[in-house]
Amino acid sequence: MKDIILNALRALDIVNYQIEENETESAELFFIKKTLDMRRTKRTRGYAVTVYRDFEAEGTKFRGMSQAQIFESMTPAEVENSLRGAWFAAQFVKNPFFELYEGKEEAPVDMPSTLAERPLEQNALRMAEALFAADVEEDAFINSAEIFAVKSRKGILSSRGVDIAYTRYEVKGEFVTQCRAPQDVEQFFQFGYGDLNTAALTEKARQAIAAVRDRAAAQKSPQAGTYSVVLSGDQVATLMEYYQERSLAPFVYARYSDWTVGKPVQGEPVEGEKLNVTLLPIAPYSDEGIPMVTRPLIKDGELQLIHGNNRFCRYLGIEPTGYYERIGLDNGTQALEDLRKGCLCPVSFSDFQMDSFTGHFGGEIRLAYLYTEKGVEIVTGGSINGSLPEKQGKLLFSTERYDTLTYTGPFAVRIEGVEVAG
Amino acid sequence: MQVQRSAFLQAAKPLLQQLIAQLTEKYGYASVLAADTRSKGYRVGNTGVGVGEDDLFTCRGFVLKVFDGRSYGEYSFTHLDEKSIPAILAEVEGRLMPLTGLPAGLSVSEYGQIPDEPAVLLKSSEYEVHPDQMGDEAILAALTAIRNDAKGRDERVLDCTVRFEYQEIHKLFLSPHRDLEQNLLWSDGGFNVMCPKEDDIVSYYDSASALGGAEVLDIMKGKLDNAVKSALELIDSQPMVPGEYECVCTPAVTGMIVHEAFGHGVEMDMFVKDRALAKKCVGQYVASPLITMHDGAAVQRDTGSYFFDDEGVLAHDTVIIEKGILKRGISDAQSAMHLGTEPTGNGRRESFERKAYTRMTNTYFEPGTDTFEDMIASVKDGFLLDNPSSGMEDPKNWGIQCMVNVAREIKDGKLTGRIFSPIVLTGYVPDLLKSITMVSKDFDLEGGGMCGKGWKEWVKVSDGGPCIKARIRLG
Repeated sequence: MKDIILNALRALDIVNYQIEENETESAELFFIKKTLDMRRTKRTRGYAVTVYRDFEAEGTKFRGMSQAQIFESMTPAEVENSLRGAWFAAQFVKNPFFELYEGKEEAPVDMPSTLAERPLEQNALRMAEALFAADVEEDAFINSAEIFAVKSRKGILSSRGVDIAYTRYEVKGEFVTQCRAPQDVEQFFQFGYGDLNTAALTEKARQAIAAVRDRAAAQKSPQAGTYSVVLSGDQVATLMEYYQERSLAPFVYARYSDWTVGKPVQGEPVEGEKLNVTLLPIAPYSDEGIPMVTRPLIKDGELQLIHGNNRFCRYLGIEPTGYYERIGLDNGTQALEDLRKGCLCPVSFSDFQMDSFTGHFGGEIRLAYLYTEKGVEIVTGGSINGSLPEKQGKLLFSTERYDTLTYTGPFAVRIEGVEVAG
Repeated sequence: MQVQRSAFLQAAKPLLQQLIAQLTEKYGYASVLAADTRSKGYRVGNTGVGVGEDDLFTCRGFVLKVFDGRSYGEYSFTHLDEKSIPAILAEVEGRLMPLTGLPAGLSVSEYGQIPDEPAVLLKSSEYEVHPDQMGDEAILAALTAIRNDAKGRDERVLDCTVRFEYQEIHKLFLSPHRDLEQNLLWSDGGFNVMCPKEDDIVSYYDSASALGGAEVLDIMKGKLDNAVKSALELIDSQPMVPGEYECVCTPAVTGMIVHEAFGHGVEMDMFVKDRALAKKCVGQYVASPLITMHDGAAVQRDTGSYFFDDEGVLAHDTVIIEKGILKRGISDAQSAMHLGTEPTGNGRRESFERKAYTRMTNTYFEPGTDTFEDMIASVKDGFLLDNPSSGMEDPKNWGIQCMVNVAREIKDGKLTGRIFSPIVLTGYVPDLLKSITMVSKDFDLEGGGMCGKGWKEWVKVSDGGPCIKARIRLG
């Protein structure tokens, strides 16, 4: 198919292009309690072709672009017709001219993973075994689960020399835990690993079952008021996305963000911990073939980098970095036990949200622990609503760590003065 | 005009029939869903102009479903020709269906065979203006005009991102006794008016959608005035003082409550998993007697409309709540088999690559008899809630988590002009629905967004209804 695409591009005199080939193979298991309700396998291949068209209008040079999706069942005539449509559309895309990313041919990369050692179906079954290994009590258990073992290969070929390919494996999924007494409740969890990390999944499921048991025992909502709040786990990762997104080149270019390198983006003065954030690659190359490397984003609360895809970085006159999907935080000075003293600690929300435009975060509390001098109270319900730009100067992080496919850093963060609706 | 048929699916049909025949020889039942969908999007904003086919909904491929006498398996693939048939059969027979290595303590579900009642259908939806016919240049010009109009109204408007998308969908469902083909055109567009507020940005989003074509661009234009005014008002918005208030909800907020707070709770695959409180409440009052709720791909003409679902079940109009009483849920075919109920045509996939789940289509409350003006006049101390921004389901506990962008203060029956944002709605769904005391004559559906199941499985839906007045906890 790649040759058919290249022939069509030549026939249409399209000289600037990028071809992205995506090949996916998966084995998927869907459980209801301990019963396999459905199994699925998948083998797909598709191509996304971006064409670039240069033109001038009123003395200004533009570089338009448009994307066509190409499928392996297409005939050569269909491929040419699809690319002709994209080429036609690109002439109306009046974007300022920018240089395309220049790359070179590189040897294909097989990202190291223990998942590569056995067939996908076996990986999925191993993870199922690990998940249900924690499901040993009758009062609290795994209600349902979905497990996906995926092998994906991405190849990128461009008119500017990029010719790269890499293969990666992952196991990911979700599960719901349930506890029927004293009240019937459930909680939702997601997981994702680049290796056959059965021990991590068993531990996550064990903690998830313990958490749902606590939630079943929670009787009342927290009283409305202003609290010191400790967020943990995935909520910390979501909160920190604010810094990754506000420093994106398209945000800055569009004036949605006024961040510049050297700006104290955490505000001044910082009475809590100064932020130290790093951008981390999850693949060897970006979707434009840019090599992805670890890059400092914020050092001691000061922005180090504007980052993003080729086009917007070129517009801003900075080095294209590619789009990062994982961040790391070097912070963490307080033991979790000390951090949560006197705090409301929500550990589960129905949907925790972070708005990168406004910096507002919030969500409805499914399970929280209120740590007071009298002890620990389990609460459920109510919601939190806060503004990170207003609160970011007094953040404190735990020494305990947390790792996911999109985040590595402190397990918990303490935020002062958060409004809680009971 | 009617949406044309897919030449690709016509050409693939004999091979697919051959596949089904061969699989049925070995297995009790086999079906295939073939999809050929083209989804194209247009966007203008401060980041520039974008045009292209998206990779979420643009697809061409197949999913086989096979029954081995007790359970079901599915194989999704993209490559099909004469030569590939043996490899497809080998995948199903050698990799998918044999279940080896299932860990101790885990078992396999036991299902009956899908009834597979005979049916033949060939239907296409209608449109006024096909986006391809309107053309890339004219569509971008229309979007640019909306953007320029918004930006030209007030220098405080930082940006107005405007988008338009359409999906031309062709699907073919084949089983031993069913031969169904549908051709649909869904279109939707929206804009987000953004204004700076100190170090932040406030915004107001609105959208329009249809089972149709580029005619939605005209509907979008009619909504711009309110969006710009509202975005500018948000600059002076204040944080909400948490509490329970009398609220009037616009049709868009009603739609979010219908969809997120209640609709997800009557998806019957959640009944199968014992994950929905609604299962225990069929036949009971769950809402005010003023409330009648529908879901159906066969009613309304919006982005949840189709003729048959992704499991080959014909589209329905399901009355879920009738005058406050929960009558039934909605379901996919496999959940219906599990529960011993009839499927309601709600088995939907994000694409041929994904599993089918019970999903909503067009979901709404029926209009009532009150006027919007009377509803505002009846509120002593409360808010007009407008512009939903997000929501999350909680079928198990019927907890509400919905966020709206705008709460307009009402004092002694009049809007004061004060505006609060952002707002989190919380509480217990039946409490909210039972507290509804007024329902307006207005009716509006919106299908500009997408619905997920949890945090994935995106499908287009529409939701809405009239204005409702209820007591709601705000934070």
